[in-house]
Amino acid sequence: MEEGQAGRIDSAKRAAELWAAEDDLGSEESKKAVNDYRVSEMRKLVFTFACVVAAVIVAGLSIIYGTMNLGFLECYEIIWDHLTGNIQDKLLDYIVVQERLPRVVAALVTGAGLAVAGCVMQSVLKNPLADPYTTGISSGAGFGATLAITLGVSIVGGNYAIVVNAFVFALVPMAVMLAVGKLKGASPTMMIMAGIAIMFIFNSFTTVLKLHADPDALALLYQWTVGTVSDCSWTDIPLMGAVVVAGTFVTQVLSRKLNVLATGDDSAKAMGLNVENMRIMLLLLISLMVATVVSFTGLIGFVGLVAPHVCRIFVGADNRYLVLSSAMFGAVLLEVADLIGRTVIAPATLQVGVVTAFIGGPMFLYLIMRQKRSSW
Amino acid sequence: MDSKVLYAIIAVAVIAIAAVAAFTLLNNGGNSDDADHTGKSFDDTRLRIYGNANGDDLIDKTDLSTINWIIKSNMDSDSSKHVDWAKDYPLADANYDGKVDDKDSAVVQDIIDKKKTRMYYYNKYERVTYVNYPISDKIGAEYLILQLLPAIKSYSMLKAIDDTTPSIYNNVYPGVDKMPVMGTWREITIESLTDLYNKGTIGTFMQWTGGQNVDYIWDKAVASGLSEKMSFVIVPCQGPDVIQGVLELACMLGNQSLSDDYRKWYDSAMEKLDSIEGKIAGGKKTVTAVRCYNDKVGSMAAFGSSQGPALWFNKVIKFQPDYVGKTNFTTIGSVENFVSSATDEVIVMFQKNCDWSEFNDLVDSYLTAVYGTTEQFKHERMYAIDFEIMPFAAGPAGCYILASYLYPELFKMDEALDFLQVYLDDFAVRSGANARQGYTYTGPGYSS
Repeated sequence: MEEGQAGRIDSAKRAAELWAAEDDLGSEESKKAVNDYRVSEMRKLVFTFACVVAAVIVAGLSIIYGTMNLGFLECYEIIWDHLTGNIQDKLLDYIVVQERLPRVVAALVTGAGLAVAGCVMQSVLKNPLADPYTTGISSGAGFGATLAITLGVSIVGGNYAIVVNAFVFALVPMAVMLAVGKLKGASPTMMIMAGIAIMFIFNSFTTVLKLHADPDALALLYQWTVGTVSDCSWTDIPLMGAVVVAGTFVTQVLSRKLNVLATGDDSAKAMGLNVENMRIMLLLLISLMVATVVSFTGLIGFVGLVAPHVCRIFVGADNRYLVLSSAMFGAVLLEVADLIGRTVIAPATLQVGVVTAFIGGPMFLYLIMRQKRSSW
Repeated sequence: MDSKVLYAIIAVAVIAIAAVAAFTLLNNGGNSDDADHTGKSFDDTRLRIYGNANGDDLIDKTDLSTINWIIKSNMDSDSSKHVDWAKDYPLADANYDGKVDDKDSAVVQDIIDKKKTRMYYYNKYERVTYVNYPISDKIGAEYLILQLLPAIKSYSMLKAIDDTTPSIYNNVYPGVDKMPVMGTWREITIESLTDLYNKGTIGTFMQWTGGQNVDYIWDKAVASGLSEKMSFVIVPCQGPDVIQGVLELACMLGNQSLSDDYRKWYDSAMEKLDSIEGKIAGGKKTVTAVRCYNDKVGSMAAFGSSQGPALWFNKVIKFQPDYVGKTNFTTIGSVENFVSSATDEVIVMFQKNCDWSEFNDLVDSYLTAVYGTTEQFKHERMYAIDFEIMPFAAGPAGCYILASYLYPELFKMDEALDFLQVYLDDFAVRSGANARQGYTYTGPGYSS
């Protein structure tokens, strides 16, 4: 047994002994407590691992489904041939590698990013309804996209006009919230109120633009607002992936501090945490993640709200497990939603944002009915 | 007459005839420098297919002659005889390789002979793309570009559709709700097209080129290699450019005569409408053009841009300055705004959601509900027109009807409706369509 592991077991055992001594319990009870703790930890690890495996399996299966009837082996042969530079059929290679695969990867990355953001938002703001859009990010991104689509006003031209606009305007709410945080203090209530105010402001501007839009522009805007991963290509995914992976890693590293933050501002400060700075830093991080993702996919709802809640049922509120499991579960959720959207009315497609709403709404109701207050 | 003299006369005659025949044969095919090689500017050219060297409405031997003349001229040692074909005959480069040479002649000859070749054209999005000539007559069309097919009397070539059109236009285009679906409008994928191609359902894809649509498919078609198998037709289908789409589609199919009737119909309308400027004092009238979907005040939206359905209006009217240069549609929002800003005469374009026989009643109820208190309504200066005949292939008829409203001294409504009837009989597909039922207001009037 390694020293570190021995140390961890010893500390658990020691903690149990101390607890037992304090509450006047016998050694059997303390052993049971240690055992229960270990089982609980194992369950969390198993669940997290299961989410990772599920994400791989769902992604692997998603690749083989599409309008054309390509078999499991055929699809993976095409991918293997592409990787080894031995493309047999250019057209099939394009379909699998350039149309299906980027969509699958984009769904994984987007789902993970939104879920991690939701997890952080709910912990930082101590609000179970917080999701990546509570800070007004969706409204800002929506306004940027509307500006590009209806008026043709964009920071850059060409194919990335909508994407860049959405990204830049998605960061504006965060900038406003930072300013409010500095002026008025970065309490959860203040942050949520600032986010809602920003949301209303941007929504009103967006509505004005929509009133002057012609039906074709409105149709395009609707598609973007509902959210889709079908427009993502290999040129987009590196940026999305890098930001989401980095953001998730940093969040995981900060997960212990998140746990401390979740105990309340006063106790967190008592434990030496700079609460306001931590809150602002985390919001900055997830705003960047969400803005990056949303600018490419449009507004996909419910993943950031539902995924952390589902994971809490299995891993509790411990962010050391919750962050990663939320990321994986969010990836699975969005992957399944996209698969449903691609197949249920094929060859026409249902936008992934529509499917997540269909799934997420009832799921959230169910969670509300069975959610224990203590899991907060 | 002495026989020797007679033989001499006959011999001279034979020689003379032979000389004339030789001279004629040697100068046949238009190789004579005296042949007319006047081209058209690119902007005036309607058939923007490479190979249409002289810029007219057909690809034929005159283009071959023009190309050969360019080649010969540019081989001349006298540089003053060289032809700047890129400027004056940009479509002479039939194979789009940056040169005009005998390869271009070969391509044009193949087009004339209806042999397989790659046909380059200047598409709606101002890019040069190509089709595999002659294109397959099994066509999948996205949204309303399909209406180019009845214009060339080839509606039966339509084999697949997007998922939007049937819900909107299944009463106008028979059978469209039973056709295979290619995918979601503006999101059709290479995969779904390949699937239909492999099944033999379609061999040509016509992309919708109206409104805000962008060229979302061509680059993917090339990257995937599908453009080598299927033809991607990306031609205009709205407004005055619709004639370009009709001509190009017929040419791509290898049967240019398909567009003859529509071209004549279209040109006869343009000839009439182009006379407005010269014959009306002060030129075209400035009017308020309004679009609406239902009888709610809030659905009033004026337009003043040259996009979308308003394309045609430039032929007949000047837009009200209050709305020119703004977005496509500017919400009017209230009767008060309308009263304070609208011109004396108003065009009201309906996006009809009723049967053709109910159109008059719809107009009556709508105008009464929304505009009933306005001066324009009371004095019957609100001219109703149906969306179906405005932006697309039927546009000339719609404009003719509008012109008869606005310029009764020049245009008669009965003649305009007869003109529309020609379209409905020859170029539309809905059986029993009556120009006097469902396209413009022909009811008892709205003054009580």
